[in-house]
Amino acid sequence: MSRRADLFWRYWEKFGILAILVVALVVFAILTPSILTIGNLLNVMARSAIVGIPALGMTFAICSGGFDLSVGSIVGLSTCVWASALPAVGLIPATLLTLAVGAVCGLLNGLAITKLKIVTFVATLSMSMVFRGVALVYTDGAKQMINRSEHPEAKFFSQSVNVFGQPVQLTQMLMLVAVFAAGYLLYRYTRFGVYTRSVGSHEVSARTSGIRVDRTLILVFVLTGATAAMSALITASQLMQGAATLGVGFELEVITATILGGTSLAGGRGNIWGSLMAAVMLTLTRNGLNLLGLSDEYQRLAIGVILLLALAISGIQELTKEARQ
Amino acid sequence: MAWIEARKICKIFPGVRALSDVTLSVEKGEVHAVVGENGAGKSTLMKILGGLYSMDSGRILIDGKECEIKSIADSLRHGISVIYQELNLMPALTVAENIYISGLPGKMGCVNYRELNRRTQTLIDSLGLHIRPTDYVSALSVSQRQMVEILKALSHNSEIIIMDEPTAALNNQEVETLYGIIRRLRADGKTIIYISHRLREVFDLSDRVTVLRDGEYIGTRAIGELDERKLVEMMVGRDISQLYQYAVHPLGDMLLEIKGLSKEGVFSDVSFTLRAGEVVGMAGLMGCGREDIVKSIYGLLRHDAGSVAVNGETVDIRRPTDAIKQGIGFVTEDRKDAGIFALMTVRENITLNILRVISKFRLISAAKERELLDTYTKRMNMRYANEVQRIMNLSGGNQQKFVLARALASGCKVLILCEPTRGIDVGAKAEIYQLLSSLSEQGYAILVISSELPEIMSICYRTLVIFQGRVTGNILRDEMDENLIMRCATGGATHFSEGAML
Repeated sequence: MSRRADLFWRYWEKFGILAILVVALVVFAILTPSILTIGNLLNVMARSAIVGIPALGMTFAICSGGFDLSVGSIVGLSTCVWASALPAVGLIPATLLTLAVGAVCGLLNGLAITKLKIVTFVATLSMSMVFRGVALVYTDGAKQMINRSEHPEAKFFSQSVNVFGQPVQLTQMLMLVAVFAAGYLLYRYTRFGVYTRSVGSHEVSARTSGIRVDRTLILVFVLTGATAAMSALITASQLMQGAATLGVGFELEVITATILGGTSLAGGRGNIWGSLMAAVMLTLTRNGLNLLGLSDEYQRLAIGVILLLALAISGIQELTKEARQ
Repeated sequence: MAWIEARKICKIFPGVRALSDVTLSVEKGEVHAVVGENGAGKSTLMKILGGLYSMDSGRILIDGKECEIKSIADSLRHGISVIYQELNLMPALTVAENIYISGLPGKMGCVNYRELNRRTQTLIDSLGLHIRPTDYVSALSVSQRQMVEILKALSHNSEIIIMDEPTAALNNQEVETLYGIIRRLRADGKTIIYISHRLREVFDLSDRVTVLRDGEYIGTRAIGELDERKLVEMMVGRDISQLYQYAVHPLGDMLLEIKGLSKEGVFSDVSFTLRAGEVVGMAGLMGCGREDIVKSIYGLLRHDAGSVAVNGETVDIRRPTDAIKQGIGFVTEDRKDAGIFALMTVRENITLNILRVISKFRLISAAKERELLDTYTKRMNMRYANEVQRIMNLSGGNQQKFVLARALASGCKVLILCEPTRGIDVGAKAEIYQLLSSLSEQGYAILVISSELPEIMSICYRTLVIFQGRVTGNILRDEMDENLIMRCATGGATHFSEGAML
């Protein structure tokens, strides 16, 4: 019995999110068959990049034993930077600048955590207000609109390309795939990946083993900041604008994806593919509810319930573990 | 000519002189034991050698050359590896990753897992162990984890391996394996510094022994010059019996009666009684289930079968509040995390269990709180600056008195104490012993779980011995003997004193 239970939980940790994804797909397929068109599914995959890319960064952050509450603010700030820089300096420099801004935000987070010794929760919470504040001051509260006819290249990150007769937002999709492939390699095969897991697993031991804990943590938050900026590129390109108010509460959705994906809040154990699946699942849910004519409020409600259920299942796992001990 | 030499090492912690002018001189290729009581400064000295602490004054020489050890990396560079008591492993990583974490093979930031696992396998094979490089450490037993630590030390090619109480969590067979490994390392020319307070191990393993006491250097002897009695004399200096005198108190009513307590896979058919006026010990190796037994009595853990009776009446204890209501108090071994409320004041730390009693119209009466604090201060001789001092700033001994006072204030007549003098200096220890003795005189029934046999033997009227979740001994004071208890604790014997009520 207990061995069978063990096996179940092991599979649940790895593939639970896949199961949830399949269930969601089936449910929506029954309720609104139009979700199953290839065009729509490709659309969902591509749109998953917005949550998925920062969820990759968040996976590292949570795996290192913390999390990043400033992702939403970094998105807001980054859209402003990109939208205001693009008309002046062109697509590529503006994009690089935006990524740099995201990375610097992450650097500041990392420094606050390691050098000022502030707990990640509070550090990233206060930084989140700082970043949002900077964005508001910088834009004076005004939206940074990009003129579509003057700067058609600004559509780069959200453009649709015809692939086998289907319109696909190719840039986004490629970004998503590239980021996760790189993230997986980083997590699985590099020293940085091992160090991240070691810090999250037992920080004192990691320090005693001679690992540069501070450097590892700073890098983790730089990564998270940079992925948040990437997500901002897509959002800004889609809306053709930047606004300091974009991305409010977005960090929670990103954290939701990461946790749903099976990354342990206790640290030390991340699940890169899980985060990707969860991002797709969340996007699919929103898409499905959209097709059913339910607005954003209902979508949030649904996501909250899904997260609660997923955590409850993990809770049951903990309980059965304790009961056996 | 000494290979590694520490001269006149001093280390001061706020309020405590942990080491004063301590000397250690170890020769190449020997197993050198460092012994001393709790608080003697053994671990502090090793942490200085390991680069975890910095010393306030003194010199360290290796092979005649002065070296500066300011960090763990320095220590490793000088060929020193330390295996600390609290193991330094990362459970979420594999064995191989743990061992080579500070020197992962591979190019350009990538880890060459094939090479990593191959090297680890070679290392594992060299000690003939049965673990796999790809096993997660979280899935290993305590002893296997210890082996991983040893492999880690070997992976650094360290000449000097320091082990801080490596057998504390091991069972007999595992200890034998460890002995084998230590002898093998010595044969390979490694130098081993072995910290322990188990004398048998010291005599079994070491070539020479250095004794520390209260942060001071007492002496170094070849093992052949010593016998157990001489070594104990060096360690203790003064006999604890000079500080504390055991007194017999008349036994009263049966306060606690445990019958057939069982929990699958943890303990089974545990029965014993506690009478008023009795101090009963509970001995056993780590992992034998002692803590689980008392935790299940106190309602921290559920048991599958058996009954608990208080004052002759069977009671159903599902959670600690039930136990306290029945007059059972519990003092945890983990004082810092589960005993005191570190950030709260000394006054609040006494009354937390009984706020309802000292409240009027649901408001806490500071006057009543103060009154209680005064009562217990007098009774237990606690020392603190003022009533709003944070308890975390008191010494371990004083903190322990507060934890005890809280149990007493809530009206408990049965006290279950886990390692009541862990991390407490000799003087305070004697005071706690005195306190337990006078409590038993007043008719309290006390159960003391302790890993220190001398402690059990000096304060207990009788002792229970637990082996693999079963009671294998119930030994009266006049029959108590370290050997006998150890044999019962390792499954080598059972002993139930005649005339002793179980």
